[in-house]
Order: sequence, then structure tokens, then C-alpha cells
Amino acid sequence: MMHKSLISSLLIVLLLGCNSEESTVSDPSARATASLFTLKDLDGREYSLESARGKVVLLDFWATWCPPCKKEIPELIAIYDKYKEEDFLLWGIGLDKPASLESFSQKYAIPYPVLVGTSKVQSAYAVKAIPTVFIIDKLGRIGARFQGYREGAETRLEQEIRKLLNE
Amino acid sequence: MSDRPYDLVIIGGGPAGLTAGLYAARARLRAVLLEKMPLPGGLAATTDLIENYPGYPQGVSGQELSARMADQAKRFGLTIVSDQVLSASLKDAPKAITTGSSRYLAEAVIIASGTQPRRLDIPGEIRLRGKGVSYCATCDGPIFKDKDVAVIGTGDSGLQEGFFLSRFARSISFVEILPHITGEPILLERLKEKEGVKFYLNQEITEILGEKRAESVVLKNVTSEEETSLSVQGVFIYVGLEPSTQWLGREVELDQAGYVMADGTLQTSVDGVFAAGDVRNKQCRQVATAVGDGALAAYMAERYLNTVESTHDA
Repeated sequence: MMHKSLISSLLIVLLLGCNSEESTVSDPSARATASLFTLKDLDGREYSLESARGKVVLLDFWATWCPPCKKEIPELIAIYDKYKEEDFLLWGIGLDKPASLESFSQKYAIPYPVLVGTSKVQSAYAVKAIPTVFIIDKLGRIGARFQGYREGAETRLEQEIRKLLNE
Repeated sequence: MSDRPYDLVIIGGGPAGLTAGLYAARARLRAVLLEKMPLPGGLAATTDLIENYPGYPQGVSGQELSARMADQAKRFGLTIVSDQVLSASLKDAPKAITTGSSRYLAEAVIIASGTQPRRLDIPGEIRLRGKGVSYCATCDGPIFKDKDVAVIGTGDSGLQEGFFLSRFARSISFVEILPHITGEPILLERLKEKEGVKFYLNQEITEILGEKRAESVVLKNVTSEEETSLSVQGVFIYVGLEPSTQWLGREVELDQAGYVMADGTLQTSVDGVFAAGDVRNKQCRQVATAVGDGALAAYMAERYLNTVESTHDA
């Protein structure tokens, strides 16, 4: 039985590599560079990750059909309101039709930019399940990645944001 | 409703029932096999490839094996009727089996009604059944060409059917509530050669969403309670099986899970009633063991009928 589990575990590693739902990288030199992208918001304005250099950026991959994403949005709004005056940006990257994103954004009164995601960006960030949040440091490196939502998510997000803002 | 006298009624047309039917027909018993589905084969017929049934070194599709078993039994005169059993009265003679269209009387009965896929009982499962939610990849897989699908459960069935789906689907997300994959390593080895395969371990599926068809599923990490959503157009559920014994009521003794209790001769708690195949309380549920059960049950039924006949004669 143990032998079977061991073989299974090894095969999973071969199949998937590391499949952590939460990862934070404290050592800045060990952080991977975030893939650059340019996406448009619901009004057609362009947002480029390259232009955000010097700021901490929270990227939230989400969709209107995703119940846990909906639960997380009020907490993201609270974070945005709290840190928007600092060197901090929060962009929602919607993996959905623009019309659905538009009506949802209005209903939930999302104050931060909602960008229309593409499969290219989703693939570049290896987003398989949502919500997935990336927190990018001021030098454009991935400081933290969180997949999934649980109640009180803002606490762990804030912890990482503060850490990166202080670097 | 018509009353038709038979020596033996066999309930269920899977490998156990068909083998019992073959042996009963060769013994020249007046036997009828009742199968609820239009074609016999039971759960085995929904299996893409059976590789551990002796005599087929390259494996055989469940559908082909079932069709061959049915043809063989019919060649010796077995009558197979497509009819669903609704209830049974087994304690008195003659035993009576009530179906949707008839009532069958017999001296002996073999219960070979098999198992059925266990449901998840989560929101969206029933509403979207046949609209993206399926329990049979072999039946529905081709519909999901170039789609993203989730396979719930990583036991042998989940892995095997997921492998079949990999011929069609763009991506397959395996969801397992346990922290490890439970199926055979050899099945997992095959999946490593496939692209677009991902495993979500320690995850419970809590909801299937979609308006007209399945569009996404919600997963919950059983440890951290984190929730995620996956965009999928197909959800294939393999979370175990349950015995098809609801129609039996309390006519024979069942175990806590609802499987029929039987002794080493496959005799149930009621004289003249035998249990064979997956429906029986036993350890190993395979086509190979079902076939053995079917042969033994028919043999024991024949012996029982001889005893009854001798009693009548005396």
C-alpha cells in the first residue's frame, strides 16, 4: 500500500511538477520575473505591466461564473481602498466576456481597473483555477501567488503587500 | 400483466447474469433474464477497455465482451427481456418478480442486478445530468472533443475513463478528495504521456454550475477550505458504486451498504434465491469474478430446482 502511494506520488511530481496553491518568495533574488502584458480595461484603456514598475501590483484572475471569486471581491475592494494611496496597484483580470465583466463590475461597484483577460496572459501565468492572485514586487518579480479563496483572505494578502511595499 | 412460469428468473444482464443465463440455458432450465437497459452488459458494457479479463491479451471493449456473452447465452436458448424490475416477492413459492410491463413467476431467482454509479448529491448534478454531467465517458466522451472536462475521483474507473477522455478532450482536471491518487499506478503512468492533464488533490467538488449546460465547477480544499473554480464543459463522476438493490426491499438480507448477503454457495437468506456478481457482498468486483459467480449461482439454482422437484414428486 505504501509502495503504491509512493509510486503515485512520484508520478504526480513527474506529471505536474510543483502544484502548490499558495507560494510566497521571501528572498527577492529568488523571485521569478512576471510575464509582461498589455491588456485593455472595459473602456478600452490600455494597462501595461511594464509601466507599473516601481509599484507593488496585485493581479486577480477571476470570472463572473466563479462563486469563490465573487466572495473574494469585497475583500479585494477593501484592500484597494486601504492601499490605493501608496505605491500599490490592483488590477482584476477577468476571464470572461467583456459584457459580463461590465455588468458585474457595476453591480459590485468595483473601484479598481477590471482588465479583459486573454488566454495568452492566462497561459503565461499558468492560471488553471480561479481565483488566482499574484502579488508582484516593485521590480516586476512575483512575490506571492495564491490560488483559491478562503474567508479572511485579505489578511494573508495584506501581509504580503505590506512586506513588498516595505522593500 | 401476464403470469409466466419459469424455472429461473435472472435479474440483471451484466457478466454475472449473462453467465448464469448461459449455464441455465445449457442445463435446459426454463430461464429468463431481465435487463433494464436496452442492451445487456451492465456496467461492464460502459467500460472502454477491459484488459484483465483472461483470453484477450490486447484487451476487449466492454461493449464487445458483453455482446459476445449475450450472443453465446442466446445461442443456447436463453431468453433476454429488456424490462426494469420494480419489486419482488421472494419468500413464498412461486417467487414473483414485478417489472414495468409484466409479472414473472419462478421457482428460483438469481439476483445479478449489479451496481450503479454513486451520485455526489451536490447542487447542479441532477439538473445538468446529460447536459455536461455524465457517469460514462465511454458513452459520452466523443461529445467533448476539444473541450475542458473534469473527472471526479481518481480510482481505477476515474483514471481509466479519464484516459479514454484524453482522446477527445483538450484538458482533463482530475479531482480527488483524498491527498493521493487511489487508482492503479499503471493507469497513472499512461496519463503522464498525455498533455493537458492536471490533478487537484485534497479537493472536494461542491457545486456544478451552468445555465443550460455545465460551465464550471467549484472545488474546496478539504484542509485549508480554500475554494476555486474551474471552467469545464464536462463533468465525469466516478466516486464509487452502490448496489442496485432498491427494488428488493427487505426480501433478502442485505449488508449495511445494501449489498446482498450470500454464503459460499451464493445462497441468500431466502431458499432458492442466489446472488451473483457485483451486487453481492464480497471483496473483489471484477468481470472475472462476476463470471465465476454467475456459473456457480446457475449451478446451485439447478441443484435447488432438482430438490424442489424431488419434493413435489414425493
